[in-house]
Amino acid sequence: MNAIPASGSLSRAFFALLRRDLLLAFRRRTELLFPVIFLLVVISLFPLGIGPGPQLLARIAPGVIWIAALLATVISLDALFRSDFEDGTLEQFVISGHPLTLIALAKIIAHWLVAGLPIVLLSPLLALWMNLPMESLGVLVLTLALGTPILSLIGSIGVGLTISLKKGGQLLSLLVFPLYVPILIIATAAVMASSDSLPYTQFLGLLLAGLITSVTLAPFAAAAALKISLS
Amino acid sequence: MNTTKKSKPRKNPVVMFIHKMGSPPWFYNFTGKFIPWLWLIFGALTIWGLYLGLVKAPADYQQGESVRIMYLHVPAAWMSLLIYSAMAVMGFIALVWRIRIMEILTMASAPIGAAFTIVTLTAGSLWGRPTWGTYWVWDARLTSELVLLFLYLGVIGLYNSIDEPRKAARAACLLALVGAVNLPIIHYSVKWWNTLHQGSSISLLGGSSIDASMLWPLLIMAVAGKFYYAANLLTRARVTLLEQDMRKGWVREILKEKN
Amino acid sequence: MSHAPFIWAAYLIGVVVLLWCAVAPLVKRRSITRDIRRLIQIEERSVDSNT
Repeated sequence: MNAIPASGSLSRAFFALLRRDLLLAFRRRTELLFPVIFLLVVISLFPLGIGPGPQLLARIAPGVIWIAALLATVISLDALFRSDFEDGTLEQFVISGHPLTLIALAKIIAHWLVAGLPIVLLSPLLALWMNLPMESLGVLVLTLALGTPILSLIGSIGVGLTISLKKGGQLLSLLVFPLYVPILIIATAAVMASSDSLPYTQFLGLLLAGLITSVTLAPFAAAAALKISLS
Repeated sequence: MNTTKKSKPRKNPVVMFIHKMGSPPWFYNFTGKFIPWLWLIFGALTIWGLYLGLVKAPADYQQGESVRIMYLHVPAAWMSLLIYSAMAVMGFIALVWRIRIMEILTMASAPIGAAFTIVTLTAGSLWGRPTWGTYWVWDARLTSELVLLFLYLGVIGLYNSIDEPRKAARAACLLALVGAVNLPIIHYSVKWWNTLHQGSSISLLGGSSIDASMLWPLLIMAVAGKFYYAANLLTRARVTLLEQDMRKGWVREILKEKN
Repeated sequence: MSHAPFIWAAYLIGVVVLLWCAVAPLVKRRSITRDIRRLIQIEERSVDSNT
């Protein structure tokens, strides 16, 4: 099942791994739908639980959509390294001589394309259901586009730490939710500011800064976590 | 005959001390002597601090007697943050240099920090009831402390889930480090979030400067907390060493000496 | 409303939590010593049966 060339340049290995993960994900097309269905179900629970009053829904819309995104991400994260861990492929990656940091980054990107991007693409529908004002839709999509990769990146550290545990998935949520708090606060602040016709670009800037920082630091930490789990 | 004389490496006492601390029996015996004294100083400072705070200090002009909870709540909050920072620093050292005693000290700190965080939250909640009329308010400090509690529980949970002790400690140390890096970000985003949603920032202490008669008990309790941490930390570390080295000779020696 | 019960409750909870935190390792130490004694007994028994 290994598609990685044993030798060869780093960038070839990187893209080969990316292609391989995407291929594997698409072989189980039904599984791709799980995060999508989860999002739809969770969002629809809110009007059912709170009442369909449009003003109330509109007020809680940014928070609700973002929390649903957090939950969906955490659920899908466990798949990030697990199958490779279980069949020994991960150990092969470590031995291969290619830096584990870049291997982790390739897998995280694949994970986001499969689990995070659908959240971004689905958000207009979710915004419609939660009665989010149309002017804020663009900001919502932007916050999700910038924020969901950060969720995947930071989440991958938690996955790396819990991958060797049987019930790792449950502990994972406890581990990553505190780390997700700032993203949640900033992203929802951006959307709410735009709904109130207040300036919001500073929040998007913060999210962008967060994305750049995570891209540089998180794969390194995730690789360290994987090495500990494999030891 | 040509004999090259090897010069004796000068023995730096600090380096020697650090090396000795890495040996479990040496660490166990050395710290054992300190612990009673640490508890004694903790007790003395606490009694003095509580006397100054609960008996001698005046009630607050605005808040009345309930301000006396501050002498528990604020030092506990400071300790919860201090212990997490100490955990992060020790965890970093443990990870980079793979020092077993550092791993043990880091892991022993987590429950103590969590305890202080719980005390901070309950004291803060009980302070809020007479002050604001409700047992829980999502103010900046309480919300930050709650997230901090989750971080602590995560470290403790991860450490307890992995069977092999050294691997478990290494994983939890990495988690503590990641949490420490995020902690300032979390703290400031929560503080900012609080002002965003409530207009003026509500704080239990308010913006006014603190009177000396209130400041002294506060500082004394803060120092007392550090002695508590030191005493409890060393106790827990020693017990962990006993548990992990159960089958080793030095533990048997100590048991024989005790009998 | 008197503030006294709140102050008492806060300090009481603080004392209970910190006391438990201080005592827990001592309780654990007792169970560890018991385990070690049992371990020694098992080892001595196996030595006796081998000699």
